[in-house]
Amino acid sequence: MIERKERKPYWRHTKWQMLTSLLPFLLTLIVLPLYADQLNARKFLGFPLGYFLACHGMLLIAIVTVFSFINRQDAIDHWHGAQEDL
Amino acid sequence: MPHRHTPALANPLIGIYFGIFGASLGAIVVLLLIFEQLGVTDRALKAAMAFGSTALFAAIGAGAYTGRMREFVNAGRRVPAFYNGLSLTVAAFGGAGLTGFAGAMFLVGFDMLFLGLGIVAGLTVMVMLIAPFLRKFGAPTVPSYLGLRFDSGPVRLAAASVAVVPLMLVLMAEIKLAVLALAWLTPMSGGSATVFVVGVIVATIVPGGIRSLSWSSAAQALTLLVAVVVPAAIAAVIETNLPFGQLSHGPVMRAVARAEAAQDIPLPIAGLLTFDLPGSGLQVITGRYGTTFGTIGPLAFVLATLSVLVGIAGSPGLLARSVTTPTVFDTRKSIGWAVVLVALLITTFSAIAVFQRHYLMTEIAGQPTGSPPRAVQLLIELGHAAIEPRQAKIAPTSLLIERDATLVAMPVLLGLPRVVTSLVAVGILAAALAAAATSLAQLGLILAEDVINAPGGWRASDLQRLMTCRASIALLAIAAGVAAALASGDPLVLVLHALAFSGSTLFPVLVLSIWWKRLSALGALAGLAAGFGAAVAAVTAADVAGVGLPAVLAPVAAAPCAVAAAMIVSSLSPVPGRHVLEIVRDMRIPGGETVHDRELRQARQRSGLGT
Repeated sequence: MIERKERKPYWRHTKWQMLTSLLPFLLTLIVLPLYADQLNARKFLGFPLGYFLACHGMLLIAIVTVFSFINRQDAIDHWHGAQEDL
Repeated sequence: MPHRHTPALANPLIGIYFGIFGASLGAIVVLLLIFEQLGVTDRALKAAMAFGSTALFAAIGAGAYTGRMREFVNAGRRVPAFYNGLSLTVAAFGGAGLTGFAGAMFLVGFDMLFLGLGIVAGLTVMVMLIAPFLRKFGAPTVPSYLGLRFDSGPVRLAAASVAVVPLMLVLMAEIKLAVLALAWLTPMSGGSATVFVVGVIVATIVPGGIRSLSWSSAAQALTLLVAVVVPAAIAAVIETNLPFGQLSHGPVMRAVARAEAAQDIPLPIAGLLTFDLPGSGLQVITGRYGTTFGTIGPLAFVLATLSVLVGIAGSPGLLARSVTTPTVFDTRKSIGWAVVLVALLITTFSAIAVFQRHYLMTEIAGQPTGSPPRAVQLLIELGHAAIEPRQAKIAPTSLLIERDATLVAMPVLLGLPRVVTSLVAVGILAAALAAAATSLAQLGLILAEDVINAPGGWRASDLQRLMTCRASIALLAIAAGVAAALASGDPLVLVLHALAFSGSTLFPVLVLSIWWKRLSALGALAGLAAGFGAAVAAVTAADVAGVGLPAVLAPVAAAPCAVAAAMIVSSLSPVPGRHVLEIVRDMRIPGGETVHDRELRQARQRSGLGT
């Protein structure tokens, strides 16, 4: 169980980790498709690069973002003793 | 008495149960493949496929019967992360979303990616900003969370009335799509199909509420994955010699681009804010597959991605489905699984679209209109395609394909056995049933728990509450069935409208209620009202008067209105009391008893009802 005085540092830590996970992801999500056309001239795995990055690349970025978020948040929970007691 | 709150443990046999389900489904398919070779009629095969699978789903729902309230409203919080992720996947995409997405990917190409990216990004934002905190809170519906969070009945009622709109729109869209899929498989159509679909959904979720929903929609998600991924793998082997079409359709895509350039397929350029989705029904390809921003402008693409994002992240049906896991950590993991599975579906659909385009450009285009290839003739007989205008030779832009039937058309085009076509149709039917059941279960719980039983729900006996829930689910199902049969409308557009509403109203208030302690009950009310008002104004302006932003982009204008209204009114109203602030602080910490259970227990103790 978390101690009372740990709650503030825990929440500060959580907030920063949320922002550092969310903001780069949103930025990529907004910017990447806009440059797809220019990137399409190059090839990757036989795909036009712009299409590959906007479809497969963005999905891969989402998966990596989510799982690294989950792992880091779990580490933060354990560091501050905020995890569920099993 | 010390109160222990160890998380409930999942059933260790669940993997075996789903193994049995998968084996039965596989057995049905293999058996029917044998029957097909033996010369059984197409009609009997399709009917066996449709009724066999729906009977399996309904049996799973009925088998998860429960007489206990906490099982009925949140499956006893015992659904393991992966299975929860499965049902989230199928509910996030839904039948309407996936047929619309796959069809429009074929017709439009790149521009349609906004929907897939929006869903994946919406789940990503949901896991970071909202879902784990709602799991710790433990309320079974979004309105009951907001009501308890602000300790305010009016907020609960306002949230309930706002949440009903997107849920009802999704429910209607999915019933329409299930009726369409049923018409592909059985002679039923129109009224009788609607009655059958509503009956199946009610029979699936009335026995055990969310418990039935969890297990039946996990099974439906597995059906969908098998029905989409396996035929796509066969198509990939035919086209590229590799079974992983998701990663190997690149060279085919370049061949498509060369053929498109050689045959002078138009290369439209959309204005910044143009937003032209292909409608349901017979449609023709609008441009080249890989080129960007031909039907949806660049600004509209970004805004539409963000609108779908907030719509998914604030969707009351999905949020309530993500809190049935044993722990907060499992909630995060289940959404992670959903992101992986949705990504798998999106890449599969893009591969299928490319293979179909390739077939269109190389095998169909240039053939004489009088004697088209056999597959095209079959599609025309089924009503999924038409050739217009009828010149001497088929041009790529003169073959019309039904948008929602492009997935089902794929096995026909490739000449796969008819049972595979039925399997794809069953996958779509399963997805539509699952998404409809998710919305219906939420609607029923909201009506029963947040409206009828709201003021003193904890006083009522379990039996009374269960019966209210069951009755509301059945009543709402009938109402939605009637509405779906009467209202005309494109299922994909209905789903996009639903996302616009949940993104405009619930998303801003939910995020603020977790991340901003100072948000007061009055602020939340103002946020909900402003978001809803602005969304209604934007959607009416777009749909009725044809001015302003397209209706799908309503959250772009409405969500900032909601945030501004909530923040201004909160700053002007008194600081929330100590009790409410303590609830918010507690909700942010994963460990410990859920806030909802604790408040209910304390309310019962105070009134002497016991625990």
